[in-house]
Amino acid sequence: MSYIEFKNIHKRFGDAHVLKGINLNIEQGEFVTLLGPSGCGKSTLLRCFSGLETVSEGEIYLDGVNITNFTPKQRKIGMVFQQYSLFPNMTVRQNVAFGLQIQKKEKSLIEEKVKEVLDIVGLSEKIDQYPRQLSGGQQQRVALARAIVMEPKVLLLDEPLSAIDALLRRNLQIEIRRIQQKLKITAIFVTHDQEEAMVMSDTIHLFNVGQIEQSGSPEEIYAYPKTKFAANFIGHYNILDTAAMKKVVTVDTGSEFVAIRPEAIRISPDDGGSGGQDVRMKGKITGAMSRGTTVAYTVNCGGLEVNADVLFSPNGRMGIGEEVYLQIPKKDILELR
Amino acid sequence: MKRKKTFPYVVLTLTSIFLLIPFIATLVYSFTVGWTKLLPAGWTLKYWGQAFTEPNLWPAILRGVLISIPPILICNVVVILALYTSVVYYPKLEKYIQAICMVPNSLKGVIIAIPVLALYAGTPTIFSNRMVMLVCIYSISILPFVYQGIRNNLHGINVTQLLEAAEILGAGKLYAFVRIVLPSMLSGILVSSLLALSTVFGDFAIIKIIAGNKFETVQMLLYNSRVIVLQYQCVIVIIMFTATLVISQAVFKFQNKKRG
Amino acid sequence: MPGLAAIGRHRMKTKYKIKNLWTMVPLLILAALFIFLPILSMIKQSFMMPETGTFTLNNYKTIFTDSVYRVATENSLYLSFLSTIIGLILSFLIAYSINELGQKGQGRILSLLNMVSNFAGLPLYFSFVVILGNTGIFVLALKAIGIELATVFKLYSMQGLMLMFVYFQLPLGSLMLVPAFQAIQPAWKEAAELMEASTFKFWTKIGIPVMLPSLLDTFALLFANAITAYATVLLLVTTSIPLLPVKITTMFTGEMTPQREMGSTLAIWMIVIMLAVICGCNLLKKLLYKGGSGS
Repeated sequence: MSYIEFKNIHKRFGDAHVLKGINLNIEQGEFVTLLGPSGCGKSTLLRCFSGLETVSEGEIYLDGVNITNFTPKQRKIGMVFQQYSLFPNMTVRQNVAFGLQIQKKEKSLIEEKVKEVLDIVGLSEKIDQYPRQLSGGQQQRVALARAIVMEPKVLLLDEPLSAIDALLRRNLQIEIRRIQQKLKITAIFVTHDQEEAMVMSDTIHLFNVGQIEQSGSPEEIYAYPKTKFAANFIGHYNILDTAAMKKVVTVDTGSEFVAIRPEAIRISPDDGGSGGQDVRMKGKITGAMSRGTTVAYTVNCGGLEVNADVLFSPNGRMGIGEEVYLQIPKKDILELR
Repeated sequence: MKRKKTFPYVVLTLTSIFLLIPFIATLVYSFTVGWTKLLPAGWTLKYWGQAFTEPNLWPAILRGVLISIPPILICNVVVILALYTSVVYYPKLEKYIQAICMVPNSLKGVIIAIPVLALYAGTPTIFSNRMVMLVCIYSISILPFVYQGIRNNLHGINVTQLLEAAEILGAGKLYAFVRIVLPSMLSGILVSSLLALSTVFGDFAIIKIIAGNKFETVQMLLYNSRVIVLQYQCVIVIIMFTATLVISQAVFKFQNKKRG
Repeated sequence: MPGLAAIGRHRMKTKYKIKNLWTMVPLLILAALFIFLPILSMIKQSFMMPETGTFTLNNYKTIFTDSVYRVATENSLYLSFLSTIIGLILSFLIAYSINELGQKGQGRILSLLNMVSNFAGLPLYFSFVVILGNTGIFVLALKAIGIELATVFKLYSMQGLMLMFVYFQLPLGSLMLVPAFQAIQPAWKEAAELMEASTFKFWTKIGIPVMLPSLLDTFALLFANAITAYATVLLLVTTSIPLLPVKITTMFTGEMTPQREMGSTLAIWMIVIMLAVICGCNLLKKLLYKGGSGS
């Protein structure tokens, strides 16, 4: 049995069926991300796990125990929210100590643990400041400290970095991952940012309208999206209508749509010939945008618009209007459900 | 582009003079004696001395303070109970609460006192007691301030999120309220209490109608002393005005401190 | 995520337990006992005959026919409307001037207005007596240069009331209107200037219409204040000039036997007038307000 099990979870709000039969397993020490667009149900599942929401149907197991009807307090979890949930009338120290004080732990023990955990998040010197004196990123680190000082079984993070500046976000992503690995704590992370999910997770579960579209490691999800939604969400993919594609070139795909990564496509001004492993298309360049290390070309192949990313080369720059040949390895043409 | 600023300056200068004259005149007059011609006959501190040694003055001030305490307590408790529940659990109810709490903005003075007097005076209920009536009417009068103060505080902090965070950390509902929500509301409570105090001090209609001569606040003291010398009344006026000024300055400071 | 918030609220809504709603009760009791019940009782009384307690419309007829009540109504309406209109115009000019000032100046004048707004009722009456009473400073000064103020202005009259009312309307009205000016975008003024519209035209065609809601709200508030003013009226004119608040009070308190039914009628009548003005202002707001952010 896995450390965490969601069994056939349904959640309805009035007429809205937000979670439609979720089955999910999470191992101990795993960093799992629930990824998806707004309204797909990922936060709802997280909140059901926390106990802040009840499930309409189904069961949740934690460490072998059925916690479906437990209160949040009974579940021994920690949670970091998107909006800064630090208590404004208390200092950092008092905020972090809050949960321990409720457990009526000894004062000296509390002091020790508070200092320890603030050390881990790197905010020891702010211990006597108030939340309003801290930046957004610092506040979230205190929120993290407040959660982990309780030594929870699972750490829940509900889009904690969505309100943080992009510059700072990257640092915090690495911080959170580092702390999670150091403490070997099981973490469930919710975000709509696929790059964030890629950077931090052991496993990603992609949500679409209340159901799990695809699960896998970041590499798997990135390299092998199984559905049109997944390919779209991960971004950058060329999603081509097979029927339209068959008009331009011979391919033996069975599905309605295919996905091709822009960086898998090779462009050259002349027809390279050779390997039956590749699909070849002829087209005209309609767009060329330099992106530093790569150049993003848009090529029109008989009505089909294809994006190809090519590594920058000072001599190899091609211009708009040029006729080119695209070469795509067959294995990189992914069939989508 | 600079506009000619003469018009605003003229308007505001005239306004300032117009608004300040009564106060300044009263202040000056309180130090004079026998002003029947262009200039006063003499200057004196005796009316000030009279006022401060007036045995009825300090009890009157004390009565004003005392009578404002129960309404402040009652009103705050009542509003906090209703508003807290609404903000956290039933947001849709808030507009009804607001509607009720804003009614006293229109029903002031005579309009609130007379109906209450008419209904309860002489009845065998507890409300026929004039002091009880007074406290209850004042409680209603300060509803708008208390409501605003509490409401601004509750919306300023993200109550629902704070309560969720507290719940996850193991806090019960009452514990969370006392340790987290209540401290955040203190500034609002303080501001509205000061406003309530100044309302009670500034009230004449209600106290005259309800309590008449049985409960002499400073306003009633002033009214009853109509037959005494004008300078004496001026002193009382200055004292009262200074007191309300101090209170409203305190309110101002607290409101700005919160924002800063 | 807006969706989540709405979902959360939906979830809360479906748990309307009576058990949890007890916290609303104290407020409702307070309001019921001291606002609604008294007023309802007054309404009932106003329809009752004095001795018998039977239903009648006579009381209301009397208000409109008996000269005593008619005069009181007319005086109150005249005093309240005129002082409010004058007060509103002056407040508008003051608020406009304040907005033209820099930060520091604004701070100072706003403090002054706040300070003076505390000056009302009894204390204000005495101050006016000091200046304009029979031996008021101002009166004496004028006498010394040979002018008898009493020939044109008497403090203890409708004129005096009007002056005092305007005095205490000004701080209130100005403070209410100052924020309303911030809705006027400088860009509009500049555009108007480019089209060679005079300042006056700008204000009459653009500025004031946009500010109409605030102006109407302020009017309603000032009117309500004026018509229910008690202390000032009582002291300045006692019963020599009949006015509604004083008349109503004497019917319930005072040495004569109380006239509960007539007094209730008069009180309800005053409330109706006030509500009519407030509703009228709200109606005008809805009808006339063009442009801006709705409601």
